[in-house]
Amino acid sequence: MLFFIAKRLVGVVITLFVIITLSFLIIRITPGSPFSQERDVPVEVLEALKAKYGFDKPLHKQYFQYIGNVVKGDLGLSIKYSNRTVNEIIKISLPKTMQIGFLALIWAILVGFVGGAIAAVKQNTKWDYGLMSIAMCGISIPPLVSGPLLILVFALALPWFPTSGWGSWKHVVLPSISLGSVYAAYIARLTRGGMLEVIRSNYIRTARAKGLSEKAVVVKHALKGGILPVVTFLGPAVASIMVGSVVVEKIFNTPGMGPYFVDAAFNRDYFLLMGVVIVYAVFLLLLNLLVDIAYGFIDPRIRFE
Amino acid sequence: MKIKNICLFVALSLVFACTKKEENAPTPNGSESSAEQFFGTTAPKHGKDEIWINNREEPQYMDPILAAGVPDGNLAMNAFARLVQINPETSQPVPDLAERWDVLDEGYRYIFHLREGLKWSDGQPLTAHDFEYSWKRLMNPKTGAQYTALGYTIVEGGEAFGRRAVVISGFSKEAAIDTVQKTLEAKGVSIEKIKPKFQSTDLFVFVNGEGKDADDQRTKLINAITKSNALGQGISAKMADESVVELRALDDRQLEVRLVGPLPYFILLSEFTCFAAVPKHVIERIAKENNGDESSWVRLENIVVSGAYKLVKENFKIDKVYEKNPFYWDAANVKTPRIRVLMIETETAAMNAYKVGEIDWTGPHEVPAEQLNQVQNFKDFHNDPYLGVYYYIINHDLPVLNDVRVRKALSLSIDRETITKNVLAGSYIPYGGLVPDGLAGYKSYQQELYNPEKAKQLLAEAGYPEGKGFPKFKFKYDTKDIHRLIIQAVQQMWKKNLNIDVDMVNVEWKVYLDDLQKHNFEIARQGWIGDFLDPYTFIELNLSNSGNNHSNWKNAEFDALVEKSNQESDLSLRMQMLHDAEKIAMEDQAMIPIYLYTKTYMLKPFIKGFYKDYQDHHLWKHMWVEEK
Amino acid sequence: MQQATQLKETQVQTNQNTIVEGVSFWQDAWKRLKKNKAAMISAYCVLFLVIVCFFGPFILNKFFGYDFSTQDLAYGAKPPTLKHPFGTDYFGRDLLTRTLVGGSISLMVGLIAATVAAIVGTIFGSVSGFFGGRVDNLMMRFVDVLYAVPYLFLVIILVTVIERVNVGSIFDPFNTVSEVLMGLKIFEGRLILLFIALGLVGWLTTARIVRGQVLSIKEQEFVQAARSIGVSNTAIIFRHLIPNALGTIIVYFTLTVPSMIMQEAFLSFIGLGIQPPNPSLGSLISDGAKQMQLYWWTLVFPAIFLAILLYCLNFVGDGLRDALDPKERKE
Repeated sequence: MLFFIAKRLVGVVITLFVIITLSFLIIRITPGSPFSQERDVPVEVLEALKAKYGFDKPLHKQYFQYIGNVVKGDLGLSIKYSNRTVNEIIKISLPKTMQIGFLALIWAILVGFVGGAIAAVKQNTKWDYGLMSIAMCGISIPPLVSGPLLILVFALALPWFPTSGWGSWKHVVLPSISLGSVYAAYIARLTRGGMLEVIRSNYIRTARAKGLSEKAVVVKHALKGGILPVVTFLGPAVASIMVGSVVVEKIFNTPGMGPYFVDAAFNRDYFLLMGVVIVYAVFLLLLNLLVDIAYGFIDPRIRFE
Repeated sequence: MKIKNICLFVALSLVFACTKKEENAPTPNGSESSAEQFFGTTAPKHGKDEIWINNREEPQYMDPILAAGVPDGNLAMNAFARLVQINPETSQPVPDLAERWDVLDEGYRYIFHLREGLKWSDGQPLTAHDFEYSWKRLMNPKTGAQYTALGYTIVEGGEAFGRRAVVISGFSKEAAIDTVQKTLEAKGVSIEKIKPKFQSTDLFVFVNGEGKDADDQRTKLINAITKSNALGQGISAKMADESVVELRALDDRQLEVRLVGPLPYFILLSEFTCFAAVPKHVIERIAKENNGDESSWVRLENIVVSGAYKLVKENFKIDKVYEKNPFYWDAANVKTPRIRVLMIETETAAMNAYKVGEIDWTGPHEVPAEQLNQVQNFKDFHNDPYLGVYYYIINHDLPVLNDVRVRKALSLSIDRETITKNVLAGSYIPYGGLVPDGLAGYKSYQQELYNPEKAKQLLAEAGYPEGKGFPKFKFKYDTKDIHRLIIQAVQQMWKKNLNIDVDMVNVEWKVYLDDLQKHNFEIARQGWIGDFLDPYTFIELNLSNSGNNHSNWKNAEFDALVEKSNQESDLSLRMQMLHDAEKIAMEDQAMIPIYLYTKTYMLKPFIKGFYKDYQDHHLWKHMWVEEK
Repeated sequence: MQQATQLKETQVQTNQNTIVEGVSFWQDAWKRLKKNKAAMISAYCVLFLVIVCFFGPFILNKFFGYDFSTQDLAYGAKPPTLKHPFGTDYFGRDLLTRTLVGGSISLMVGLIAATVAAIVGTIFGSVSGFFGGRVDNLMMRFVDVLYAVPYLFLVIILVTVIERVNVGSIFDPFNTVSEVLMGLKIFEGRLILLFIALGLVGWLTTARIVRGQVLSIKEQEFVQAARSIGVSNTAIIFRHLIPNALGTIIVYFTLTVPSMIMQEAFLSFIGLGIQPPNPSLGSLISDGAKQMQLYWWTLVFPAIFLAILLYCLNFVGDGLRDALDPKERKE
């Protein structure tokens, strides 16, 4: 087990390195420059700016220098926010995003899992149809729509929450509901699917045949089966929840990390974008590792290889 | 059956939810009582010592010399004072840090006299030397200021410094420029131009090329003169440094500037944020502490200002708090002690925050086009003239489009009235000129706005009757709703009036800028906001050598007229020249103007001292909260 | 349990020997699907919506002269009337026509992208899960890499590249048909890019989920049994692992369709998706969301349309899952 984890951690580092390299390349071959402005900027100024960020050197030299800095933990300077380092920006924004993400996750798992389980146990009843309709609504109403709706109702019509921004616990509530609802819907659907799969399988039939109570069947076996696809889904989902959603954070004007994935790309803020990609990749790789470990606990037949 | 019921239920509940919501939205012209005259709340959520303002986004630069976008400018202009300010009531320049100025040598030379006892916010004296340092810092290419050209193109010797020319000195008498150029070109140096230094026998040599190429040229040039004595013994060459700029502090309170021409807009221009004074003593200390990197001097812990407000608190991307700077010379007249500036990035979020009183003014944001109908009858909605033109540019290098009849047909078949009225809900003004009217008494040349019959006829004359055989052009635009909305309408008008098709091509902003720069477009959209209150800031766009002339429209007559106007000290003659130049550009349809910008915003009724401004500059020092 | 394994075995044997028997699996599935009322009604609903989406605009154009792009700026946005049952949008265009055209584009985008995602993801995931060990590790790390690489940049690069490449003429027949029906070419410019861009990312999660299922299934007795009698790896993957994971795959497929439609909406939201005046349900909804305080119908009708579409797709998916489940065959 420990050996497995150690081996996988080495893999994580190698994968991370591949991700950084590939992203670096893709980002740098994309047309457009961080310094192009609507107003013409004199070449002499452009040269000075390029020199400041080291863009005057050949690409491979920039790459090795960047890798060297990343190993030292220095993610470079932001271009858009001229007097800040990427480390500083991430340090400021990541905790905010994670607060929203954590709340969204809790309520998504709670609602999604319970809803999905009920629907599976009461398959093809009013409960099932009702819950799954709500789930389908959750999926087909993205934060793009639910965000403005929540603001309209709970910030403008009823002044319970602030419209946007950051500062108190109240600022976290609406964004996390908007973000979590889609995930709750997905989790509900997956839980139901996974549980039905198990409920119909032979060993449940055996369990039932043995005279095990329905409750025991559900709790002991079916729930476990329901978890498997959900856990797989949660790996990448948690990673993307934790680094933030572009749409939700834009609608609620949250100073989190999410918008940087789009804004830094559009501004060609090379180092900031690389920084958030690295943070996301680390989350993703570690969570996927966790998922794989969790497989072993949930389903003992899966061996660690 | 069940499913149908559920479907019906879902549908009904959605409709219900939405119609109910509709009732909540106040309708200005509906049954609402007269108490509902305002879109937002009307009582401040804060005391009278504070104003809450939106700045749209975290600034890129806090340094006034580097400030680029509107969010940067709004913060910098309130924190850093210039020699001159604009009186918000008369729009005329009046003294700020300078108490007066002398105009000498028929408008070529200025001497500014600074007020007595000026101080930085750390209590250090603020002198004319600070201004000399600041303005030269603006012109220095190493600073990396976007507006550097605003500085170096007007001050004598500035261009040599700003564009890194080589100075050749040691001539005993005036040298023949032609001979020098030939001699140097024979040595393999690629020369753009040679200019004599003011009142000197020295010459400035500008080389061709960019980046390393240009540096190689400069080295080659200097070596040719100093090592191989190409121009004879005793002639030396070196890179131009800041000493070549004709700008100096005569003493602690006098600043002397020599201009390249009798530029009548100089005083107005010097009000622009990039001409603010920055604290030499702080910047140099920070640079020393950080191995030459001075960028952190604007951070909260280091910043020292000259203007009415000083930064005291900041939360990245959330807000910044400014407090009155007691060392500002006019601090007694600064009315509000604290200003809280929020960074609300989207228009909709700003409108929401305004509505419930989280901000008092929507700031640089426009009111979203879709919301205009809803809010424009409220008393707290404002729509002021704004110094900007929205226009379409055409690539003049392309066949078909280089036919003036085609360009005219395209222009005449756009129903601008319908666009501003129906697409933009009446917020902008249809326009047929290059320069907004009324700048320093300027009268713009206006062309005919809408004449589909004439357009059809012109297109037929150009060889495309009823649009037959007209190639399908691509209309390139950048990703923003408003451009999409307008271009969609224009596309339809061209189809209807001329029977021609264009494809809309949406590209991402930085790619768009790249494409404009490289003339990689057929038809594209552009907008220009003037930098200062003079027609020149717009006329300049169509000069052959302007970096902002993306359409490649070139006209020698136009260039000559504009050049002549810069040397003209008679104001009305100058205006006539600029008007004639504009006429040339418009008659050749250099671009297709669509509308004049206006600025829509929401402002709480309790904010006083807020003036309409053509450039949308609103100084906090004039504002205060009026309590009922 | 024994029975089920044997059943699988006989099926494999017969499938390898005769074709007729192989078809019977699908016939069987079809029989079971027909018994599922909810699924059948939903399937007819989807079919109905598809027909309406593809032929509706043509009829509306023929009889009322509406089309999705011609503007009437003076008319503007008006609430639903008899003339325009869904109302009109900001430009005075009939919203019903736009919703139908948008529906067909979204259906194309969603179904094509989700199908590609399901096929690629299933094969990739099951191979990875089945072989396990080093192969699995390598393949999953590849997925991780693709997950993390900034997707938006790939899209920007694609946009700039595709802008300059002409799509082959193989799509011409489709384009001719779609131009007659809807007034626009489906396989042209930005739409092609959408299929590629969405396909690029869509399969990653499917692959991970299928792999998870396969890891679990492959340890079950019947797979062990198949192995022990020397059934080839390919056969095990395609005859045992994938059919047994089909339930999850189909459920995930029904989740991928909406997420692809939404992904398209997101790309449209940031300006890299569908090009106006062409509509898609996603772009109609995101436009509607911006204007919902003023013109509620621009949000409500496309949103309801999408919800119904997804709702029915979901039941069809469930029905298919039940019908195709090998464990249910005896009932």
